Amino acid sequence: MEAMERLSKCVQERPAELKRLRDGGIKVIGIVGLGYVPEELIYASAAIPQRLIKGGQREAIDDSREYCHGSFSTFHKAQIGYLLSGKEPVYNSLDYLVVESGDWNSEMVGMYVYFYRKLPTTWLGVPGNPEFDGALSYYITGLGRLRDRLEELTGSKASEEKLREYITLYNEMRDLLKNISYLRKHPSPPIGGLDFIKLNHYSFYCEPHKYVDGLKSVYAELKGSEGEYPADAPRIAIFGCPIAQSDYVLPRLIEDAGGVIVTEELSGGIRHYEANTKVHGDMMGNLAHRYYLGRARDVYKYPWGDELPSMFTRLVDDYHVDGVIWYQLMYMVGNSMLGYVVSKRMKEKGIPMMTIQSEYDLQGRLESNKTRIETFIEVVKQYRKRR
Amino acid sequence: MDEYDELLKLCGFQPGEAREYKPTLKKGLDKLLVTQDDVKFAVKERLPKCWSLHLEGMRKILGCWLREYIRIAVPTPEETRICHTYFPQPGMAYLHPIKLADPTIQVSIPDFIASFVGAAFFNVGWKYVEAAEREGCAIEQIGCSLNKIRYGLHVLGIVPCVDASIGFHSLCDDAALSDQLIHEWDGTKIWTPYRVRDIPFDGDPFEEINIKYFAASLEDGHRKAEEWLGIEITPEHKNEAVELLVELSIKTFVPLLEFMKADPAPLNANDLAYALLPIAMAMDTGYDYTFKAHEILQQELRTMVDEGKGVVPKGTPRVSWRILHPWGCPWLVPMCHELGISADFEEGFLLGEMQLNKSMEIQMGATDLYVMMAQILAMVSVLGTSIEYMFRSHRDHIRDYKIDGLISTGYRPCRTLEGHSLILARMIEDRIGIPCITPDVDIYIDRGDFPKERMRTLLETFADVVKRSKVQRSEQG
Repeated sequence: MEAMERLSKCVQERPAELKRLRDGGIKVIGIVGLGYVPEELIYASAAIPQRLIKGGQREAIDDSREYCHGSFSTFHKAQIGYLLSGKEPVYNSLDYLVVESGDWNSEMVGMYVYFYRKLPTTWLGVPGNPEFDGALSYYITGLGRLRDRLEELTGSKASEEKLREYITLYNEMRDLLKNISYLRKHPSPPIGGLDFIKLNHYSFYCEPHKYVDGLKSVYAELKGSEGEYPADAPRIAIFGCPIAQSDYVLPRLIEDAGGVIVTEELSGGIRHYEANTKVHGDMMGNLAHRYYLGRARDVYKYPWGDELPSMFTRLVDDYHVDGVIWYQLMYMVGNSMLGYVVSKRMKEKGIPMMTIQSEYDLQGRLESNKTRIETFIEVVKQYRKRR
Repeated sequence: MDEYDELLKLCGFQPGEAREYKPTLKKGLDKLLVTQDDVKFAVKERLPKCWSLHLEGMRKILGCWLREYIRIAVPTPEETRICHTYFPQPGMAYLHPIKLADPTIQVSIPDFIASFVGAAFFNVGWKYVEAAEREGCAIEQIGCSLNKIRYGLHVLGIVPCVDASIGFHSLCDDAALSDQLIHEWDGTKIWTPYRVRDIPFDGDPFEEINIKYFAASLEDGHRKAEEWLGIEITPEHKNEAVELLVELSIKTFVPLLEFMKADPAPLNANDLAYALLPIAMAMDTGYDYTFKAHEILQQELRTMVDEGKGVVPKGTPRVSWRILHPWGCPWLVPMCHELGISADFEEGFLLGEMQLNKSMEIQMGATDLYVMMAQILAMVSVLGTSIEYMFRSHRDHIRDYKIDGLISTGYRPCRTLEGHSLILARMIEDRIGIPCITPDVDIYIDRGDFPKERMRTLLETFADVVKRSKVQRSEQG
């Protein structure tokens, strides 16, 4: 796909682009977390958001060892490695850091970076009890404080007009991602999970107008195309921990083995595209509603009740999933517990599920992982036949 | 006299009292998977080596804990409903009003009690932990043993479906997450009051908006308990809980802090934790035993201090455990004594001057139970979210108790308590100049998965460094 290839270049071009912007006096704001910081707010404040989403490399884990304990979450250790080793150009280009408080791992990344790199940092309060009356207003207050800090940093006001402009643009972005994802509901999907995840990740590296234009072309190409995957390919869902940008070993192995990834829920590892932000009324309030309450529930919002586990069963139904692979990064305990609960639900539904654990070492154990996944795909085929 | 009689004797029971309690004890221990061999181990080895059993007050304090442990498995006939919370919830202030509202409700912090007694006295913590690991707490993910204990108690059927588990989330993600598994397992009703951890590295942990939210969230938890348990928590119940907290502070907590400043200290770290912590616990069996035990203990300690007696010789280098000492491995304390260091101090509970004054100010001036709890939780460094504030707390503790070295138990057992440890160790080494070490040891249970001799070698080296550092600092004045 030509349009997809064009978008893929934004990842390589990002360091140079950030340098050019910073040379022009624009501030780059790094974001650590699961997607609770509205990028629209940062753009509206005349700064550039950079979600820190890279991963998959052992070297980053090794680099983190000087600063944090080994049994810190794999994804977050990698962020510490990239942020503190000085080897990753995008991570070196930050002027400010916004850290979501809500999951302890993200909070601690902020602490380490503030201590060792002295990077100015704000922790955005994300209450973990959304059913509590005061939770939304606490989050709104936090967003307000973040806006004040950004305005102070850039000297530019995040006006209602600017907010509306970026909210509209991001709504369009999410609609396109949703439409592309929904194409995978077809018996013979025109796009698989590996490409979809990559496409989603490009959104964190691309200027949003350019990205939306690119997505439109991708959607147009896909919409009219023949299915890329045969109708009898086992339909796989990947759930679990974040698949980071460049951590593509697992989706590649699945699709190389003859499966097609038709849906994913990766705990903030990709952009949530289901819910949009209202464009009428109070923009900050609208952002708060969408980013705090409107998005998919995550593992750190208590109590889960049935809402969180049933989200997975719903995805399985909606995308006609034949088998589930749970991607478990080491030391992400909450996801591991959720994986256990989801495995019980899948068992009840008669959907086979396998867990793949990683500390960004899948590449080093490629053959054994390949065998496991090939076997799993065969098992899924058998289940499918029986059904 | 069998092992059970011996156990009751070592735990300060009078002969008549012991005779009456023994059937309950046996029934409870049986249900809690404590075998006769485990009891034998406790009375012959664990208790005499690790606690100061020559002190009657100390024996009685161990008895308070034993009673609580047994109560988890053997409720009184009147107790028809159960309300739990979990560590590091300040259970006394939170659960006591519920007990006052209806004495037929059993209140407990079962993870803590089962770790404090089951793991520490009888070394059976691993039984609960392994049950949890079979049902969703993956061993390789290295989750918190304390929360595994709580979940394991449910998996094993020792604790039934709970009517209201009002936990709380401050630093600990694992606790709230484990509650989800418990709910999935047996339908226990769970609710999670929440503290938002958005205090900056060098921020004010008492930030008003944060405290207000936490306080309102704690109040919300009580409302949920009222709904689920069919009770009404009145202002009188809350006031009584505050008054009890102040009384516990004044009569049990503060005096021990003073005694521990003596050289040599009269109690070891194991003694100290068990003597201090009723203040943080919801004692379903009540607090009378605690107060009586403290009266006796404090008289004994006064005599020891006056006579210059302690658990180590005078002048022994003093080492503190950052936040908590690993009570699940209580043998570490006598091992340190053998190596010539007095690892008898816990930064998390031996408050320095700043912390103690603040704590008393909050308690004495309390007009609202929930605001008081939120402030205390924000203050105690074990839960603090401002690392600079934690550092100041460490600094005061080190100064006030004349600490020569710091041991920070590893990240493995509790990522939330120990995640800051490398940063704080570096701050302490750089700014205060005392040595710090981070051994990989579980706080809450002894799984036996690391050799004791390896730990001895590590601590031996550390002891040498501490001794040299002490000499150097004293030469430098």
